[in-house]
Amino acid sequence: MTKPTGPSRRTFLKTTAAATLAAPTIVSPSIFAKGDTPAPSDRVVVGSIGVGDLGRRHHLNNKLLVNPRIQVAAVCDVDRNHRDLAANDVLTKSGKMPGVYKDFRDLCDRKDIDAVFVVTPDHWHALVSIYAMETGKDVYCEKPLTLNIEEGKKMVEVARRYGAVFQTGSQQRSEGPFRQAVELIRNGKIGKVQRVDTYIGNIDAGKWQAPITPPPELDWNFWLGPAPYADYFPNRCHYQFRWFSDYSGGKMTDWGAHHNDITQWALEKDQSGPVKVRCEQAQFAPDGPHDVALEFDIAYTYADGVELHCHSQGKNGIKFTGTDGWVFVSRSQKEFDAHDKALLTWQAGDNDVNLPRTETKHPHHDNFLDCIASRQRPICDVEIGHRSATVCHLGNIAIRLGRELQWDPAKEEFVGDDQANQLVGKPMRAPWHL
Amino acid sequence: MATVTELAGDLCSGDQVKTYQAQQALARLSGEIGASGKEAEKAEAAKALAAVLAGVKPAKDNRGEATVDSIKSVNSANELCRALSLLAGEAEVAVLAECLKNIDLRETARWCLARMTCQGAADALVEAYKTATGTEYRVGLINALGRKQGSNVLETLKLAAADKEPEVALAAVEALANTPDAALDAVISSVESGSSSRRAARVARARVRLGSTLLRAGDDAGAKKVFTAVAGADVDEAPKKAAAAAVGG
Repeated sequence: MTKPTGPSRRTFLKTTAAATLAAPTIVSPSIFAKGDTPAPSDRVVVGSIGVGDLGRRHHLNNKLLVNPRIQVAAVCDVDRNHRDLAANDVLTKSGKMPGVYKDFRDLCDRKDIDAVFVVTPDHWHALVSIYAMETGKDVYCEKPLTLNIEEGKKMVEVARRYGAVFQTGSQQRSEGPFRQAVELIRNGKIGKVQRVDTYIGNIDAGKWQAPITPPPELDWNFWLGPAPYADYFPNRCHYQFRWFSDYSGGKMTDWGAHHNDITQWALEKDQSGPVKVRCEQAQFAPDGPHDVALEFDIAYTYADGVELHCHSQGKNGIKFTGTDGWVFVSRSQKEFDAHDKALLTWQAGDNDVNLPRTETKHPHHDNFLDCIASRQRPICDVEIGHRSATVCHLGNIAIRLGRELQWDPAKEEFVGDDQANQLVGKPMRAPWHL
Repeated sequence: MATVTELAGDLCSGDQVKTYQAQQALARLSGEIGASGKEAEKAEAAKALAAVLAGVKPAKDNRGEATVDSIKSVNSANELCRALSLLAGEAEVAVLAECLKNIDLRETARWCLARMTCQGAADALVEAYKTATGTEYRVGLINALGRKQGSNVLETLKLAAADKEPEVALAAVEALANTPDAALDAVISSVESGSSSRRAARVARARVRLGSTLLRAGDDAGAKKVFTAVAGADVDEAPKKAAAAAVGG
């Protein structure tokens, strides 16, 4: 970042934040919400790592390049077309040519970059995020945060060691309906929560393609990185990687990282997790190629007896059932429902539990920027993202092993099951390692 | 119901669907027999898989003529090793150790041994490192040893920290940083980084990681010594700040 010449807004934020460190993280509204254009010295200089569909469309174009608090200084992708198109977006919209990189380490080694957005396939999240934090960067990393539990533990360790501000891209925490539902629950409006049902969707079996030579613009070996070597075919790579267990955890982690994350938030388990998990049913593609479960029902139990049931079928959303009522929440405000109906219009008062909120057009990103200035932990800090991803990984491990498993959320290991503990982590293909 | 040997044969068939179906069947079987109390069935399945792995023909020395066979061998070994990784024990180490000597199979055998938890797996990796060639593979062996414990592992990592190949030495110090021994700071900080600022930064980060390892192990004095040294050294800004913050905190 360029050095400010006088007291800047970011300096002010850092100072005031230090004085109020114990205060709750309620940033309402964001200090930049009035459309002010910050001085260049106040802008967060970012690098965007992984600029395929999600990285380029959702983050770069819809969030970063439209945010006056951000200057995009670099883009990075192992696909030359992705990075060149992204660079063109930056040049067109900001008038400045960004640095263009294939190797994330070259981008992270730049001293003028404050923060990175990690929007790579999941099997790269941990390696890129850890390197970024170790080079002094703050990190916004897409969900699901990790490919396995061991990666998340390392990410939390490194974030704390380097004092990195880390936002997990589980943006539902910054969206109104979910906050409203969680505030209802945290304020006891449905009594004691007994059961949560998350409905996260299913996938199809996919289609085999004959292995072919990777296109010249794609460095396939780099794309695979820590994953075991595999022959290239297009359906294995961009976007579709989600349905191959070497790169992701299927729908369980893709949408579980959203709805199970909100469950953890509502149950106040952000530093913990369930203690028991079992797969009630799972269906796989009979002939492939997708090797993650297509359909599943997973049952979790928390130490206080609350049950979480994660389903692939059913209307997308979350239903919380308590002793005195229930709440259903999804991304559609129209689908927000509750019993009794009076809960639909209930608002938390000053004496109620109020959850953090950032009331801007892009609240999850702005919360990250606010926290970069204040050095507070964002609304979906690295440990929160890790613990929510863990819930999903536990589900996948239970599917894989087909037996009930006991989980110790404090030690983050399975109780009395060596084989399950082997699945907490996964070796990486040389030369990569955590 | 297909036997493990038949499934292993399907894994090596080169047919996408057959291979996939065998993967799924073996994964299910692995879960069924991986629970406590089914050790005999698990050992039997591992033995059958290892026997098929032992029969995977290595490529001929003439690489040009052997390309197709070589690729098939690699893919077969990949599949077998992955299935084996959650079942294998001491009895399968010898077959995997033999695979470490084959240039086509060594990476996937290394991966399998890295995941295994028996002492023999660590010993095989230590032994392989002594004569291994190729920077990437040697780094892979060191990374695998970073997941293991034992005095022979520690000695190998210390030896590797002085390796003339910088990537091997750096991998070794990053592995050593997970061992709670303050004396290792001298080993880590002695790694030559030459004119490479990235290498120098990796050494500094490994030292900070060692400090954190010591803290977690309860060696506050050792941790403080390491952090203080890094905070006062002419090193990359990020680890320097992290070390200073740790000392201050």
